[in-house]
Amino acid sequence: MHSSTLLEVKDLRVYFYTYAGVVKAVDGVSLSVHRGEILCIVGETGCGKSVMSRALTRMVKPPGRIVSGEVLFEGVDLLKLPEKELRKIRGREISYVYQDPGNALDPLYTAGFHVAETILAHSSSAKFNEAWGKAVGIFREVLIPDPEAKAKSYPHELSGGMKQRVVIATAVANTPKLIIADEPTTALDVTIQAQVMELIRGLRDKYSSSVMLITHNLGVVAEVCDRVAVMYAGKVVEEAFVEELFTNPLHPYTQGLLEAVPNPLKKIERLRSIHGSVPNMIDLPEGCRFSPRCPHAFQFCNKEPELVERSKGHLVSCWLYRR
Amino acid sequence: MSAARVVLEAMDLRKWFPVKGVFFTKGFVKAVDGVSFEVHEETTLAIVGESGCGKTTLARLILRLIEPDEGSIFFKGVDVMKLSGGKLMEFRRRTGVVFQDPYSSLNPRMTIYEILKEPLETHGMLKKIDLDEYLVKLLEKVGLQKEHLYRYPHEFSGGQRQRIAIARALALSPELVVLDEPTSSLDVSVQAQILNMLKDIQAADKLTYVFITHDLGIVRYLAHYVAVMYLGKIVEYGPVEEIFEKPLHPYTKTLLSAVPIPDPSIARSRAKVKVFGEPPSPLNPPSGCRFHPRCPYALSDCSKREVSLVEVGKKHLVSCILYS
Amino acid sequence: MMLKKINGALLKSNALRSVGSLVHDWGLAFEVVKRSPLTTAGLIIVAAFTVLGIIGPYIAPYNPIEIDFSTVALKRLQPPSLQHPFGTDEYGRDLFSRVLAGARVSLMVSLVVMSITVPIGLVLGLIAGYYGGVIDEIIMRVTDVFLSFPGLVLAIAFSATLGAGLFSAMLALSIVWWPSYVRVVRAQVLVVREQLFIEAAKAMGVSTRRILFKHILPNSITPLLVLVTLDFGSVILASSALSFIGLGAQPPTPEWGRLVADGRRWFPEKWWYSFFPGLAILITVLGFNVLGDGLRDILDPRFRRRLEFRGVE
Repeated sequence: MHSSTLLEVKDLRVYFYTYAGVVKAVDGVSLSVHRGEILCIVGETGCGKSVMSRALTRMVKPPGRIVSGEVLFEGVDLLKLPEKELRKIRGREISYVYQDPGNALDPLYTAGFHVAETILAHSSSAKFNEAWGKAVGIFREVLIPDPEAKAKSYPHELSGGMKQRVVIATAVANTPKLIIADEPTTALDVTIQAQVMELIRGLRDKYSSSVMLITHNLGVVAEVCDRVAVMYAGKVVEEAFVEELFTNPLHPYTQGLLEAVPNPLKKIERLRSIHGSVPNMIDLPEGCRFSPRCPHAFQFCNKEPELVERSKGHLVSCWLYRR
Repeated sequence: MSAARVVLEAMDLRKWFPVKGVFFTKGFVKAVDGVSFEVHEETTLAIVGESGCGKTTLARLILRLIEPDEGSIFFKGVDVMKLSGGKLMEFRRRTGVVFQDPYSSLNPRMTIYEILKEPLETHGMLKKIDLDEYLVKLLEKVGLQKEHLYRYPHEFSGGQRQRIAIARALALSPELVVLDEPTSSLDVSVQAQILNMLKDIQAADKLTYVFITHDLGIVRYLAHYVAVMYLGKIVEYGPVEEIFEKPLHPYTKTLLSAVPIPDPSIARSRAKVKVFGEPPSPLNPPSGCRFHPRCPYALSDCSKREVSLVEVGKKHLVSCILYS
Repeated sequence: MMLKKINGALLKSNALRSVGSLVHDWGLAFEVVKRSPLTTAGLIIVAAFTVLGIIGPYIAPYNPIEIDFSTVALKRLQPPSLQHPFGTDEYGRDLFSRVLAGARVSLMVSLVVMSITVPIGLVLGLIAGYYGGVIDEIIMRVTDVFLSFPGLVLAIAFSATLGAGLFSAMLALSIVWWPSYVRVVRAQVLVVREQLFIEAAKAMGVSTRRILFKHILPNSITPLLVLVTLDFGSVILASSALSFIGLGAQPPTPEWGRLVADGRRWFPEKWWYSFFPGLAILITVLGFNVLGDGLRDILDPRFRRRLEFRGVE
């Protein structure tokens, strides 16, 4: 294990057993998060990025089931840990920020209460007043204007951007080692999105926490990430440092994705689109899952490629690079 | 430019929605508050802005799906507000619309055949065409096949549904199509397919588009002119290339520097305009220039004086105290 | 596999097209029925009731109405036996035949009441929901007035005013039954009205009438369908209640509520007289209720999703 590795996922598989068949939402994902880095997981709807992030602390709801794999957090396999032990890690060592800030807060409690509650849940000694004081301090850190007053507001009195700040405040309340943010800015407007992104980077610098940022927006990836893993149909197809990925994308899917996004700062004559659509997760294509849509597909592609390192830190799972 | 080339002209459109209290009206959401613009033949006007800026209300006003409180709309020189009966039907035939959500814009109890037949039936076209042949051609235009005709909407993916919605909008060969965030619920790879398709159809059928979006990337890719909206008002209007290269209004600058750029070398090196706070509620917009509480260049006069759009270049208009 | 094929065949047949789009997935619908024994039981009961309602009088072993005066003394009030499974009444008539014939009366009453109230509910609900404003206000306040009285009490009042008899009972039930349908339809119309396909239709210039009947109506009937199924049972119960107190069916019509009432005089010694008609009411009403619940599950997308997920484990 790398000395600076915080989290290592090995061959994680999460399947959903449905009436229509088995949905292999996450099918053999291996990746690692280093200390103090922002790792982006990027992929389109249904690629399994969200399910994967929840499976890390066993938060998959039935009919989903973690079928196999290991999640080593500082060397401890979270998938084998008893529920009681795992609960100590959730919210304290690993915390989550979800897409919809409206749903993440209980409308019956004040913003400050949510943060204070998280602090109390993971500390045996603290009193509520102390925790409240800390909560106000954290509000100040996440740049909530007028933190004393805002701590006493109820969720419905706050705007979407402000709610997301409160959610982030709850997430960083116990200075976790890993923050998992699942599309944290998708529901927000661009100007607010920029503020929240900057906040996440700032908090990472301050606490040197690691961040796993799940997004479908390549712009967000380019703005804040250090390293990127691209997921397609339940698998990681490419992994690289952010500059490397954008300047030298290897996997045909990554290449297609990068050329499909309109860039507001460049005049583009024609976007390249990937033809077809994401495969049906119950009836997956044989071999490489991208092959039916791939412009470079050839006879090798009916076998499944493995994720191999092509150059330092740049991994790709494609037969084009295996000869 | 001569008036004949103008397809659509909006003049001082105003739409306020009353907010009802227990006993009396508490106030008005000023969704669209004095908006004027024109759209030229075979071009795309993008209307861009953040949620709550009134862009969707504007789309509905243009199509006369809701009535404005004030102002008028001219479609090829004809006052749309004065139309009724057969003339209004004629206007409906010559305009089309595609909505944001492909899941609720198609009737789940109708087959694609019925969905596409409806506009033709409504406008008495059935006698003039070979329906089956026409529908197949229509489907092929949007990248679908004949065998899709007898299926129900729930059997299609989001991207395919949006193709169907576009086919429906094109069924009567309109001259103007209003597209209200047609790709915002789609994945990027599918979005690119749809955007390219819209571009091709515009060229082939000589269409005029009004494209409502919040995505500046799409504006740059597809539009010829852009109107930037903030809290019910257009703050800047002009040719896309000019506005993206040299934005003048502080809000346009802010938007362009806040939008994430899918290129790390540019994304991290460019100068950023810091934005403060959040958009205020359109229920009680700030006095004077509505952007002044968040504007990094605000002067003391900004809160007192409302500046109208002034022409600063060829077809380039901006409403800001710095340029008036 | 087999289900998929049936599914396909059903969707292809034109008559079932609209129902097909209502249920979306026949395989799943079968699955619900299969997995919920109660729904299956309800379906069987309702089917049996309907069939008996139609053919009952023809298969009845004895004439349910005519009294054979030559044998009255001999045959009256006999307990259940192989010859007379439900026993006989005070005129020596076979109660099994009378209960069978009663199924037709109940079926007819509920069908008549539904065919009067459902169209009223649909039209008024559509109008109130779609147009809103003053029209909505007027329609809804009138329904509120009706709904503010207990339905059965109101039905008794109307029935008594109109005079005893099956016809006036049906009329009275219809008068009190439509308001709940207006409510249900209106609530659903309010939801469907906001869907974008309505706005798209308006933008195409589609006429209001067509929007109402082609777009809003087909998307608003699902909850009504469930309620109507549940109410079939309730109408049978209510008409039996009216007959029981002497307002509904008059002798010699073999109505179930009437039979229970007639048997009361001999209760409890001649228990079978009231017991079997009562049992018929109980089973039929229960059948409709259980089927209605199952139908609600089949038509409710949230439930379907849950079942889809529970799936094959």
